[in-house]
Amino acid sequence: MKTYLIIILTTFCSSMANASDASSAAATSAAVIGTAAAVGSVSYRNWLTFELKDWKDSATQTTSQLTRQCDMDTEVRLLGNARYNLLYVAIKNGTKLPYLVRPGRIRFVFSNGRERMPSFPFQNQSLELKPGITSGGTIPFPSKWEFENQDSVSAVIPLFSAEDKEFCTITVNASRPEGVPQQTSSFTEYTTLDYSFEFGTSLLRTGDPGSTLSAGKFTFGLSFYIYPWVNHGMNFGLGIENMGNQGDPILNSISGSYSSGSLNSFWGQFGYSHRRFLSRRTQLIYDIDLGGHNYRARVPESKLASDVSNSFLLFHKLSLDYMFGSFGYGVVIENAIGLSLYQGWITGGHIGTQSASGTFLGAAVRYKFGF
Amino acid sequence: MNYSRFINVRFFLVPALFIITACSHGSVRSDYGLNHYDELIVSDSQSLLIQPKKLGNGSVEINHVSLIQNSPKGPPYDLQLDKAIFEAGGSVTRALCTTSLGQKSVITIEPDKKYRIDCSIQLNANDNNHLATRDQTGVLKIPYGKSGGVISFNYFLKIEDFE
Repeated sequence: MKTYLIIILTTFCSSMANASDASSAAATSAAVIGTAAAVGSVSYRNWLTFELKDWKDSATQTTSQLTRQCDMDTEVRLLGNARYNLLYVAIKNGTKLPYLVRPGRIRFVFSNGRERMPSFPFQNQSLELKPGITSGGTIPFPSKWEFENQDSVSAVIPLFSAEDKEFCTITVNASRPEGVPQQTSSFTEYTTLDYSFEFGTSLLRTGDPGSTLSAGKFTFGLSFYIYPWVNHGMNFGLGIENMGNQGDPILNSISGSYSSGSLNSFWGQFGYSHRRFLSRRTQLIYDIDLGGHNYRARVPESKLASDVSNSFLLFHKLSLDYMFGSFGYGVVIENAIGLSLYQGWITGGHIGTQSASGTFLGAAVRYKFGF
Repeated sequence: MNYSRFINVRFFLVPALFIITACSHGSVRSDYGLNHYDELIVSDSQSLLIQPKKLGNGSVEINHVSLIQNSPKGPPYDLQLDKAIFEAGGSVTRALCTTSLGQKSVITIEPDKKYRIDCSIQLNANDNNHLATRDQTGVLKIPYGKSGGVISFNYFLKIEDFE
């Protein structure tokens, strides 16, 4: 299984591939980008049109740049997704001799003077440019952040003869049209799917259940985020708090003379998530959700004395995450730790003789990973 | 720490399936026409995956997009859009071509200028039986200059387009 998956991904991630026919050109481009952020899972027919919107020329509605240098017809485009920006390059060799592109020798020069080499997820073979044939593929930029506040980027592509002597250098320049504001999505590296595990403590609970003084009780939460956009997304979360003890008024109202019991609070919510990058590694996330809340009282000595209450829930959460590292091949997983502060409003329902309505407040540390 | 097993099994399978699924539909319709004609550099990479639009009764509409750029040192070239044609299955059809400047019969491409050319072609299998019985490679031809030069792009037509 492991071998097959690596083969699949290696094939897809070979960022330079023969594109002498159209299907391999398109499939290669689609595959490389698709692997880079497969969670985007957009039909591959769209990948070639996944160009950086703010870098598109208004007249042609594309980032495509055509040039003829070194007796070669060349086309480049700037493509991007959530995690990577890529340069799509196609070269038609108009000479009578084969030449080579060595992917590791390509350089990107940004308008601020920074010169970067591509960042390939796998080792790449040289690309052979056969006479009269169009070859090409996608070349990943080392980081999307390199595009921040940049107006142009040049790709310097040296060509080598079969004897490994540099024959000529193709330089292709892509520019952001004047007056077009830069879109955050064209330079921000962001995850599109995030999962977080939150370990925390309750701080406050109001209403009748508040009299249990549940502050300091252990809470656990799970959250799942989908971000189709840099700043906007959806979240789904689950939480639990073990808040009961034998002196609890709710439990007492249920259990009567029984001596022990437990009271648990469960909640699940779904809603909008807003994400802001405070820096390249720090994110502030605010979720506002609707959901359901469940009190579950259980008295082991008497099943008859157990009670359950279901209520509506309005929930919001503020989180501050620090992205501390990544790992993986092709699909790179980003890791973050953070702090969350959350509050929920419970409306309706009774448990025992008590109203379930009230609010709860909690804080948690969390580990998040995303890709 | 060795993460490889964790990554492959838990996280690579689903994305890989996404990719495989995504790669399984849509088909390439255009030969990658990256070429030069005199000093003009042309590409139809934008058309690689544009599918023909079915109009019913065996008719389809092809929307072909190409980029044509003059080199910085090239002379001005006239592009005769009103003489653009599409050849497929032994018949010739008029192609209606426009640019961002609108519908013009002739445009002049000055040195270092680039144009996007959008051509619309309507074909009917009832008029050309070959289209309904055999996959075809059609050719879009746009005359340019005064010396009889022709820019051409291939486009793949399938039988099912006309069904």
